[in-house]
Amino acid sequence: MIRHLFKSAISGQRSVITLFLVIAVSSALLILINYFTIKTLSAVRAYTSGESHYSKGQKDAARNLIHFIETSDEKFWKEFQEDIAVPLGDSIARAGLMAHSNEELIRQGLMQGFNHPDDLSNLIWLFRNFREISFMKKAIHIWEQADGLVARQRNLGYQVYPQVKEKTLSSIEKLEVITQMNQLTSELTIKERAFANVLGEAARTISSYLFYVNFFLTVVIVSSAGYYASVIIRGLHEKNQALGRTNHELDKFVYSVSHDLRAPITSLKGLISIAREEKDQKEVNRYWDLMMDSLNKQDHFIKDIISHSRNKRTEIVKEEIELIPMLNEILEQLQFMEERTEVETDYATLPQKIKTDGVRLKIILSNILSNAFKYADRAKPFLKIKIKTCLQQQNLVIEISDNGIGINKEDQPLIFDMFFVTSHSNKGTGLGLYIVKETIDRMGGRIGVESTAGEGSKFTVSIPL
Amino acid sequence: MSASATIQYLIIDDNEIDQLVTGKLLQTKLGATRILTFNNGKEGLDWMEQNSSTDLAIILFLDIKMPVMNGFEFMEKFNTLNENIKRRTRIFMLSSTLNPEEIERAIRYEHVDTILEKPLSIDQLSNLMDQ
Repeated sequence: MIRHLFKSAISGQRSVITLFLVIAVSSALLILINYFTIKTLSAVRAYTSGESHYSKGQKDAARNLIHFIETSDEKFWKEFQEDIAVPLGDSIARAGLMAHSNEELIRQGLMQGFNHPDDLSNLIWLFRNFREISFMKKAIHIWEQADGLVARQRNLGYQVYPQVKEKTLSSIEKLEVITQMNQLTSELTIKERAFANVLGEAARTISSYLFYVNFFLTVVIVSSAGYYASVIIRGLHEKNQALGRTNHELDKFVYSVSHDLRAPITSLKGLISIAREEKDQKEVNRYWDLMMDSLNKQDHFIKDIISHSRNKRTEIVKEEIELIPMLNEILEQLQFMEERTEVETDYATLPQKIKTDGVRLKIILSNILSNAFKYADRAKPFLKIKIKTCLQQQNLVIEISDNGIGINKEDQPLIFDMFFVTSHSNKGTGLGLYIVKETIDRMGGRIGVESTAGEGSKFTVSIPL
Repeated sequence: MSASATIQYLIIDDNEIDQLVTGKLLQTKLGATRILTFNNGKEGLDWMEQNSSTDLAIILFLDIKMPVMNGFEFMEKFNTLNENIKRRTRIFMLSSTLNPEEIERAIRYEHVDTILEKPLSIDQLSNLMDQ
C-alpha cells in the first residue's frame, strides 16, 4: 500500500508540474499580450487625438488665411502661420520617421503638432514597429497625402501674402485663391476622416482580438488551476482513505494478534486453576500435556508473526539454492507429526541449483507442507504427499498434493485471508497460508489451490526466477 | 448445589482446552451436572432450537471468535428463538479479547448479561448470578 501511495505521488507530481507550466506560460503570455495590446491601443488613441489637432490647425489656418485675404489684417496672417505650424509639425515628424532621422527632430515635430509629451514614445513606437502592417501602412499613406495638401495650403498662403500686403489682388483673383483654399480644405477633410476611420477600425479589431485571446487564456488558466486543484484534492482524498484503511487494518491486526497471544495464556491460567483442585494424578498429567500444547501454539503463533513482519520489511535477496535438499530438510522436520507417511517426488528437468530468495521459498514450502501433516486424514492408512517441480518459461513451479481432509468449497476462497481458520480444527493460527500468499505476492509469483473435502488438497506455486 | 443441579450449562467455544477448563470449574465449584459443550455458534444454536420447550434454566457461556458461526452471529440468531427459551437463558460472553469495539458490542446485546474474561472466575460469576 505504501509503495502504491509512493507511485501515485510520483505520477501526481509529474502531472502537477505539467499543469504548473501550462499555467505559468499562459499567465506570462496573457501579461505580455495585454501589455502590448494596451500599448498599441493607447498609441492608436494618441494618433487619433493628434489627428484632431492636425485637422483643427489646418481648418483654422484656412479660415485665418481667408480673413487675411479679405481684410489684409496682419493679425490673421500671424494666426495663419501659427495654425498651419500644427499640421506642419506632424508632417516634419512623419518625414523624420520615414527617413529614420534623429528622434529629437521627430519629437519636436510631434510637440509642434500639439501631441501630449507622454504620448510621444508610443506614437514613435507604433510607427516604427507597425509601419509595414496593413492598417498603419494605409494610415501613413493617407497622412502623407494629407501632408502634401497641407504643404500646398502653406505655399498658397506664402504665395499670396505679398500681393495681399501690397493689395495687388483683384477680387476675381481673391475669389480664386479662396476657392482653391476651400478646395484644399475639403480634400483634407476627406483625408482626415479616412485616417481616423482606419485607426478606429484598427482599434476595434485589436480590441476584439484582445477579448478573444484574453478569454481563451483565462479559460486555459482557470481550467488548469481547477484541474490542478482537483488533482491535489483527489490525491489527498485517496491518501486519506488509504491511511484510514491502513490504520483500521493495523488496529484490527493489533487486536487480533493480542487476542491470539492472550488466548493460550488464558487457557494456561484456566488449566492451572483446575489442576490445583484435581486429585487424580492421571488427569493432572493430561493437564500438563494440554499446557504444553497451549504454549506450543503460542510459540508457533509468535514465529508466524515474526516471519510475517520480516516478509513485509526485508528486501528480496536472490541467491543460489538447491531445492531438493531444502525440501528434504523441511520434510524431515515435519515427519515426527505423522509416522505413517509416504512421500512421492518428481523433480524432473529441474537444474541442480536455482537462483531465488531462499529464505522466502523455505517459508512458503514449510507452511504448505506442514499443513499437509496438520490436516492429514487419520481415517486413511497413510498420509501421501506428492511433490512435483518443474521449470516453465523462467518460472519455478512446485505442486504439493496430499490425501488429507481437504478444504470445503466455501472455505477455499478464504484460506489465504488473515486469521482465517477452518471449522474442523483449532490447529491453525490463521496466519500460515496468509503468510504464504503474501510472500509469494512479494516475490511476484502466484499460488492456486484445488481441493475436495475428504480426498485431499493440491497447492500449485509458481515463482519467477 | 441443588440449584445448580437443575441448571443446564452450555459452553460454546472452539478451543478444546477452554471447554475443558470452564466445564471443570462449573463442576467442581458450582456442582454443575448438566454441562454441554459446542464447538461453534451453529452447533449451540441447533441444540437450542431442538430444546426450545425445555423447562430448565439455561446458563450459556459464549466465546466470540469461533469458526463457522462466531459469538456475534450467534446472538443475531438467538433473537429468532422462541420466547420460552429466551426467557430461560442467561448469556455470559467469555473471551480473551481486548478490543473495545468487541466488548462494547457484546454488552449491547439485550440478552447478554455481561462479558467475562477468560479463564472464567467462579467468584465473579456467583456474584453476578446472585444479582
